[in-house]
Amino acid sequence: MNWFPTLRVFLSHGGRDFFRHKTLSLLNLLALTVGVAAIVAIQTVNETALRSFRASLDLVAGRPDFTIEGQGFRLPEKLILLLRNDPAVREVTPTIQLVASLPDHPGEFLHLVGVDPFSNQELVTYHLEDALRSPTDAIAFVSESDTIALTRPLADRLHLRPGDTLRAVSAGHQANLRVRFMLEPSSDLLGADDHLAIADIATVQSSFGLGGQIDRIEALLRPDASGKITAVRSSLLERLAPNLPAHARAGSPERRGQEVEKMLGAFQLNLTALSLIALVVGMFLVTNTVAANVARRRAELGLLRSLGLDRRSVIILIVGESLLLALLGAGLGIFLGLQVARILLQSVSSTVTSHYVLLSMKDIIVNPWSLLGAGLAGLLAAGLAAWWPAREASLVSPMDALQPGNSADRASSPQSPFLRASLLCLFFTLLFSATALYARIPRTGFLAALGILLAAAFLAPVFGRLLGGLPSPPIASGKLAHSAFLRGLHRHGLAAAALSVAVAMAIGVTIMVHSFRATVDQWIGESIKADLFIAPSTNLIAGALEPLDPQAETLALATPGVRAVGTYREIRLFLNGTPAKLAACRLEILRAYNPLTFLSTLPGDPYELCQKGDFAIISENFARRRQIKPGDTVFLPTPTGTHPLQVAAIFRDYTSESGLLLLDRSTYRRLTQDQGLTSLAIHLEPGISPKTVGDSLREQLRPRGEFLVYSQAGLRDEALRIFDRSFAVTALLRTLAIAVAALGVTLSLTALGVERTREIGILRATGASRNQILRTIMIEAAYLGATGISIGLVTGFAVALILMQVINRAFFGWTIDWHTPYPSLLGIILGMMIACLLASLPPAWRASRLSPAEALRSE
Amino acid sequence: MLETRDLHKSYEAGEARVDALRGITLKILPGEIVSITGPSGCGKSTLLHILGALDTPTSGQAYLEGHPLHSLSDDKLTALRRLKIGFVFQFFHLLPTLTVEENILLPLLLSGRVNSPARTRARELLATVGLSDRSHHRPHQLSGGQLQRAALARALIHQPSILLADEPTGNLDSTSSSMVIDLITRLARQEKTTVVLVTHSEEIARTADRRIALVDGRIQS
Repeated sequence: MNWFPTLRVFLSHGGRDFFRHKTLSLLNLLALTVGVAAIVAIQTVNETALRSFRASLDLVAGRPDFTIEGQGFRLPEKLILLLRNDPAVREVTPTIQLVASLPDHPGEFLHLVGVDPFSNQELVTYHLEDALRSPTDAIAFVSESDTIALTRPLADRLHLRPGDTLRAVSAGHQANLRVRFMLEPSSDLLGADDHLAIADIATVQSSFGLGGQIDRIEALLRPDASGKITAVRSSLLERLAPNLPAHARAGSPERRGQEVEKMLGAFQLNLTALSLIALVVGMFLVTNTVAANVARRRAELGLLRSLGLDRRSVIILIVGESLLLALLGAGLGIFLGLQVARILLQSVSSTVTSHYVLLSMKDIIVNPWSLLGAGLAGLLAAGLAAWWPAREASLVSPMDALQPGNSADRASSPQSPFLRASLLCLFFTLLFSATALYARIPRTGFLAALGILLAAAFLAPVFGRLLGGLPSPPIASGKLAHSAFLRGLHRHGLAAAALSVAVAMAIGVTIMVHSFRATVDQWIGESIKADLFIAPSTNLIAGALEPLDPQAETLALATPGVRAVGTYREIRLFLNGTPAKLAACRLEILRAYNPLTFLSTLPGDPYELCQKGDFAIISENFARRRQIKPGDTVFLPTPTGTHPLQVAAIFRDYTSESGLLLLDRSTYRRLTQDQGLTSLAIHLEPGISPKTVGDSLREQLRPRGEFLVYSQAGLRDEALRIFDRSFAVTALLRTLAIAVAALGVTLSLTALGVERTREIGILRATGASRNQILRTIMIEAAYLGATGISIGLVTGFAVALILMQVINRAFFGWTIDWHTPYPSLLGIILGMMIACLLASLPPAWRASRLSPAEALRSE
Repeated sequence: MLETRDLHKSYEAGEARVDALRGITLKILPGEIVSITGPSGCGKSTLLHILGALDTPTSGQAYLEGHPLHSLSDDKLTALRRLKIGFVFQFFHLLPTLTVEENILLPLLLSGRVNSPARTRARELLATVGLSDRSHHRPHQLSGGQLQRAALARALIHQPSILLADEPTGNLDSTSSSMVIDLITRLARQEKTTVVLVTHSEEIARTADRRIALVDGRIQS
């Protein structure tokens, strides 16, 4: 058939209907907008995180053909020569990097990169303003041992100009660096960390006691006869392999970026899954609105059908109209999502830095493809959501459609298909939980969560009918609301479904976060026994990257009142391509003052085993993710070779998402030759005030730089602050889903209000007062709320179970003890009920103000 | 008694102004059965809505037993509808989820007066309109004539002093029409209720005590 004239007629009616029922149309639009905005915000923040990391990597390393990188530990300088002498290599340049605190600028730090300006010309993508273009400048940069280049934003923030001096401290080494140049990253490095500073590699090595050490070597290769370098790189790797230290990783430079993506994968997937919930909730609302729209325009559809429109065309017209509205919603959602992304940026940046890699995001990076994807997701959601009511409309015979009467009167909602669909979803929930846990396909855990949410959604109309079976409140409005709710289940069922999904998600996430927090809090209480903790100040903003001044241990030991000092060293590395943390501490101090909670051990004392031989203790998530048990062997690549470590015990730990491998300090130092420290745990004599000793240590350490000195309570607070910050985005997404669900209540009641205009007229003619109409609709909203909230509450517990026992175990491997946050749950239930009642106010008010005469004329 | 003085009602339809009533002055005595006739769009229903306290005039006065309908608040108008007015509509307008008996009791439910005597009266009315065996049925299980008889019982349950019927037979076959009109007149006389009947039918108009013909919003003299 010729579509366009029909579509034009239909859309012109649709357009008029849109403006006639503005509130309804805008609510529908808003539901889609918020759904798309949630996806756009999360995708943009995720994208920004990855792009910023890659940009920082590119800024430091350029874009080489081949890279050798130290894995957790630095590389010896002699490797440069090894690479340079290979005939396949055209250019070689080394870099070294460190994080330094700036004692004169509290809260700021430098991500200092040492480069060789003579050999990196072809690789770098930054420009040193006025610099290195003339031989004099190049010579100045190299020959003046204190020269650095800062990014312009950092220099502006610190009020530094070329010629000014900047005091920097790292691992106990202080250096007065002179700002000589401004770093101008090229435009394609948008998003790079503005804490970056560039200096000659020798300046960094000599200033911070790192002589003879480098972090990375970048190389440009000579292409083969066909102009490609893949084969050249492989053969180079083969030649170099026997001469590389065990902890060196060589190969394609893309690998590092891919590893970071992998590392952030679970974190980002979690956020993406949560962001999709708002869209799923929005889908129910679109279905609801389209169904209401179809009911209102029943006669119009009947007319078109009687004039020759076939069933398929009815579906296409209705879905097409919904898609047009979705297009507008997607556009608005993209705009709103980008604004939300800006708000989330800081929180995500801090979380990624705390848990994964140093990241500093200043502004969002927009990927048009991601936006297109989110927009298409919105369109797809709207199309799918509109399909069902469109199909229902197509099945109505033209004669029936043309009959006058209240369309709402005729609507029916058979219960058994919903029950069957709910049971089917439940089955899939169990299936996907099993595949996540036992078939080791973690992502199916999210499908299990989606399954249980959909099971709840399908159950909503069935439960609504059950609730309607209870006696109605003994007042006129209560009786009317009761019957109206039962009759409106075809519309309310969808709103209750949306509500149950949002409530289930809110309750599930709340229980999970609360349980996790309570577990971590309890664990902190059990495992953090020291009175004071010392760490470099940059730990707060840049993660545990700057080593602690070794003198801090000596000073602490010599301070009166100090009974023992425990040391902690932490390295982030990849073991068999999977991220992990390697930690070392004085196990004798740990055993005496702060014993670990072991979950399983080898026969004998694990502390003794670790102190006497090549044994390690691993965290439970390290064990679960790698399927390791006591007695198994872990191979640790170090600068002195790859060392087999037998697992002596598994312990509970919540400090690392990727898992922790803990060694005794003596073993660690013997195997790695690394003498560094990350932090200290200080145990005091009985009766000694932590504050007094803390103040004394602060005073002694002040000349050596900027340090964090935490009390036990202070460290606990800091750990929980990081925890709360990590779940800040989750809280926002939860709120968005709830907001969309509350919109659904308004939408459902508004739609029914429109459908029942004449009925309201009858009630008014029969003697119902405005207040009675208002109360009736609000009580109806309470029925709707009670249905959605009741199912949501029960399902919320199941969602929490899936989050903790399936998704958490499959992705992270932690044990989370169940703690039910009764006050929070009560708050959610009451809050949602109040939201439902508030959401019902606009349609209730509108209905109560209807002129009875006009309402009776509405047919 | 119902009385109007120089009643006007206008609507804005976009930029156009529609004068539905143009100076209606009439008086209807207690117990009187009056029919209002006239072509479509002459203002019959508008007049009925104003007399029934569903709408207010643009100008002029309307009194129901001395209550000034033109100046009362919405609450007062609602109270009048509750106590003194009963409506019968062309499309019956029963609430689909309530049973026939519940529909009949609706005006009393809204005023909180559903008690044992009220239920007895509902049963009596059901018997009078011939629907005793349909009291627990839902509206969709009834025929048009039965629906309108149920609507009539609802209109009379609270013993209103005025019954307003807007084309009560407009959707019925001739047999049902006769039955409904017969019931209206019989019950009205029995309960001494004033009836205002809007109709297109000459035959039905003739059953009234008095006939008022409207043309273009005015009473035809």
